[in-house]
Amino acid sequence: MDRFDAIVIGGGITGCGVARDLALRGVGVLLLEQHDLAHGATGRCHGLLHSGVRYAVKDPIAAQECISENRIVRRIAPHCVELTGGLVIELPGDDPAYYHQLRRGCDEAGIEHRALSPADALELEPNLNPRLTRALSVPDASVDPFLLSQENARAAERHGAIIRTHSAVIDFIRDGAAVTGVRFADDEGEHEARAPVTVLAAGGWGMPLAAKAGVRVGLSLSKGSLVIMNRRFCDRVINRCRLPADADLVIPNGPTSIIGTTSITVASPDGLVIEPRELAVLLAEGAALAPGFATARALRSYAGVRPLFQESGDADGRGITRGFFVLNHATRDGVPGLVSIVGGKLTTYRLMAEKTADQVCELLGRRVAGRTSDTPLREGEPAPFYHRYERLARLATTKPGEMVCECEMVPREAIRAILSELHGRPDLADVQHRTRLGMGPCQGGLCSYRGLALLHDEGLLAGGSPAAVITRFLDQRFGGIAPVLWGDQLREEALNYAFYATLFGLDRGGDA
Amino acid sequence: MKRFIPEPRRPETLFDPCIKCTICVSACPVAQTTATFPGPKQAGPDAQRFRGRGEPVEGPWINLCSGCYRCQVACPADVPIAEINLFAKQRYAAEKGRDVATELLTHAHWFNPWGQRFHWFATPLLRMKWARWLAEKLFGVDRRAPLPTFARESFRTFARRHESPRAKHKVAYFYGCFTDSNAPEVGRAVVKVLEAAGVEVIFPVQQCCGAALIGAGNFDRARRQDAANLAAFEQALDQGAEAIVVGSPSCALALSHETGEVLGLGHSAVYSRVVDLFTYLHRLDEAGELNLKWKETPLHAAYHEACHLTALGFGAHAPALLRRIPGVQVRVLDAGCCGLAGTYGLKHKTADLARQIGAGVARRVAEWRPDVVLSECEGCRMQIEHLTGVPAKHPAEVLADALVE
Repeated sequence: MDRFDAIVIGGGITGCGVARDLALRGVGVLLLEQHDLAHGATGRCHGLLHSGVRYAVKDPIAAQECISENRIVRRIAPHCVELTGGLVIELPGDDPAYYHQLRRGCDEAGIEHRALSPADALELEPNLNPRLTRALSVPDASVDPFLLSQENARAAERHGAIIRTHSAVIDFIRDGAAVTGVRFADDEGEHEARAPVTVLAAGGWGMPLAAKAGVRVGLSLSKGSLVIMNRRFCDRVINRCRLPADADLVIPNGPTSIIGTTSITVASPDGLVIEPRELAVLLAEGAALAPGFATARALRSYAGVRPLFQESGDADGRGITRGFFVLNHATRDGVPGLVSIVGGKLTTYRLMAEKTADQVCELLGRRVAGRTSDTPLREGEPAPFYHRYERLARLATTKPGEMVCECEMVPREAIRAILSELHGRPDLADVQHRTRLGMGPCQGGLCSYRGLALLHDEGLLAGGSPAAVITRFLDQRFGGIAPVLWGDQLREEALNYAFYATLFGLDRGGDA
Repeated sequence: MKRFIPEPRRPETLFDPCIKCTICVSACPVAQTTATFPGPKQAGPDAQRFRGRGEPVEGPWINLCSGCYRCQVACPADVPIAEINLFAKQRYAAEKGRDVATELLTHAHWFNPWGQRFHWFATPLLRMKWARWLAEKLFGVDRRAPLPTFARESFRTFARRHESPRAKHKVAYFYGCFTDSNAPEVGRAVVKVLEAAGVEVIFPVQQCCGAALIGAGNFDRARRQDAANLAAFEQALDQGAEAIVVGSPSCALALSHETGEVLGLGHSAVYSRVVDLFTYLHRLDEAGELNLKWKETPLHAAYHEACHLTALGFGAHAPALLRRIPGVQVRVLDAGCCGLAGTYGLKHKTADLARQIGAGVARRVAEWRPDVVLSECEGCRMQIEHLTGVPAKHPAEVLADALVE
């Protein structure tokens, strides 16, 4: 299994999309991801399927790409998208001229939009700021970035691709200047894989890898921090009617709402710190959109990096294009066999993948057209999208003791169903990404231990350290809780600390 | 007086403080008895995160919550779990409707006056096996469940002609439907004790407190009744009543708590003045103003603290007072919920479950073999008599009988 037509580095939405696109064209693909699918920027985004309205004034090309891809993703991946719709609301103090520019921009980009009276907007969304002055309805949607990545990977696998998670690329195999393969490491040790073309789709993690091939990819890493609230404040995506700025989007996500983002340039995609001033901005601006934010419970906070392509110049995060670029390092840098895909966004992932696959096929000398725009991710009738009432219905069908995660209503059988995808490595975060285990108010307080027991019962902990597995997960959960450690979440965490640190002695007990 | 009615309280704002400690589950008599109810944590704060506007409701399990409030009392985070469940029942009923038994039993206050007027017919009828069989088949009222008898004279008839002597203290008495139609002797005992304690009792015109309607999620009708009750008792407070004394804990809970927090009827002076009889007597006693004389009364009694009395939060003051009567021995049962919970133990669907819940109480009564079981709650009294055959009384009745006149 060490020879492929193409190797894709990075299991974010871009890499998964590229793998699927290539697999559909009959190209033999290996995808390598250092952690789990959607572990990086993909899993730390808003989960917004843009209508393009956000870019309609400032970046018309991105706006057009967004609306066009928005329609395609809805069509090919209906089970990954909640058709929430979106509202753009203008609040007192927002520049009234922007509203008209926005409508013109939407007309030019082909984004459907409809003006609503403030009363109608409040009827649809009673939790919005009652002082809103104008509202527009637009086709935004909420998308599950984990599921969308997994579904692309699963579709790729069905077409022959090999997907390897927890497999970190260490170096390239070179033949002269050319990249002819990669060396990567997983739990079992180091491996080699060879292919005439390697695609670097590793986002912010791509820069140091590219450097190993002697290539410089100019990325500006823009950190965006977000807060997840315990309640779903609105059933639609809420945009603020102003030039994109900090904290002007609220997105419904299952039973929660996500407010974001900030934009701060950082040097590395790892070790992101969410600063108190970011939280202050997020919560204050959230309260401007929906006043209930001021007193509601924040569940956790997280930050991701937008890997924005910036060949030169010094524009900051908001000034750089959201467009994407496929770089053929053979012509650009004299390194044959290496292609990078940089920039872009979740909404346009499919188009990015298609353009990348076009480039790969050209290099491989294959003339096969992409067909991802009209091939559904799942054949037949896909499972419907996650709906809250379906989780609620699980309460009637789940026997006592079978509910592993009570907050997100994840029964034992839902976890068993995805165990085969864990690629032999027991990791509760991988279970979380596929089932929402541990994503509710207690953030793993009750389910970490039950989940660990289940992994053990299924024989997945053989030879490993259970303490390390659970500590790793609890530490990950705590990383997101720490920034919002006040009020209800502080009391929650005090209880979790009592469980795991005091009762089970896991504080410093794990060797993770 | 025009009532200021704020925005009704919305259940989606109530679950945030839940820290998932699960103490409520160990306090829930239903969850401890059956696996068909997911328990107060999952049914309440957990499920509420998943109830969306306009989305399909959950299964009928939500109606397995008996509304005893034990979860809410146990909650260290002040999550109004029982109230979240009430809102959920309302939402469920709005989509799926309510069954005949629930409609019938929550509107008992409509039938009670007729039953009482024709008590010579109604009481024997409710004891006839064929009638009960028919009522179970037609209406879903469990044929074995305890049903009350109807009194010859309603309490309100007594109250109309009764003139309470002027005294230092004055209270308004909310007697409730059951006392009115089924147990006027309880009401007369309450009045006798209060008057002996130097308290003038007035009887404002009153309607059913709506506790049963609220418990079934029928808020609209309860709202109409309680708006009238609040107006009548606000007037009584204006006329110098210092407290609203309520004989039945469930009525007290409805008037002091659910009316504002669940029905959203706005601020009222009534809420903070509602008190159960024994808490009122206890307060008089604390102030050194309770001077009652007792005669020797040999009685071996077991006291059952009703769940809704606990929920009121004033404490159960009856046992201490009863123990002052020479000859009276009182042991507190402390065996959990009796299971009746308003209409829960009467409906065929839940009557068996209610009996299982009450098994602990029944077992302890059977062990102790008291002369009488005392409880302020009429539902508990019916259920305990039903489960044990031991007569059950309101503790005020023992007090009234033991007074030296």
